[in-house]
Amino acid sequence: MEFRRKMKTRLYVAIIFVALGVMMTAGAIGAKIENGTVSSFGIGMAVYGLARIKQYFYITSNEDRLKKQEIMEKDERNISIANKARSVTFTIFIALSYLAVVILSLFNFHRAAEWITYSLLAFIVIYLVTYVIIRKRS
Amino acid sequence: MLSYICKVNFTITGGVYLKNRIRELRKELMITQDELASAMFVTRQTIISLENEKYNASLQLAYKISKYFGKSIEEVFIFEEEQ
Repeated sequence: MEFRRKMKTRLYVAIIFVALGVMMTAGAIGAKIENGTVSSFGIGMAVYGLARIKQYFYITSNEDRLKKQEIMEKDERNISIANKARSVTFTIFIALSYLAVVILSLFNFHRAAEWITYSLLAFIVIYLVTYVIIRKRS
Repeated sequence: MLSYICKVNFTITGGVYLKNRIRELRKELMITQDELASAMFVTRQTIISLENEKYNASLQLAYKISKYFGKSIEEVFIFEEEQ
């Protein structure tokens, strides 16, 4: 029952995604923005939302399917694998960013290197804040 | 390279796996991995990994499995101290 409610919340989020996507695309076309980034982003959001809506109806139309989905999402091994993958990705991302800063600086792309450094700093600050919050709560 | 990083990460965060008697107890009760997984509210893959000693169950899951077999945690999961 609780999971069904969770799925319903996801449906509302998906509907918001579709609405925002359609608004962004319509806005971009209406404002005659030459750059296709905004409209492409809007279309992407709408398509993602529609896919999630379709998934919602597919899963919730069958009790067995709903239970399987709940088990899949709550399975502790799946959660552990996802956390480990996230941790590895984070490490690789930080290492590659450092490498990019060094290479870009060597080839005199100082502006780009600066932006990557700021992003890296933001990541590290967010990580430290999250770490402190989680440590306090556990 | 990526595989190596993942391996190192897995080793740091829990490379030692507990031995267990899940397969033996499950066969005694004549139940399938699917049935046990369904009763424990986990995927069949988790039961397979536990039986193959490639995954350490959380304390909560270990307790649930032991209770299901009517045994204590120590009777199902065997902790061998490193020499």
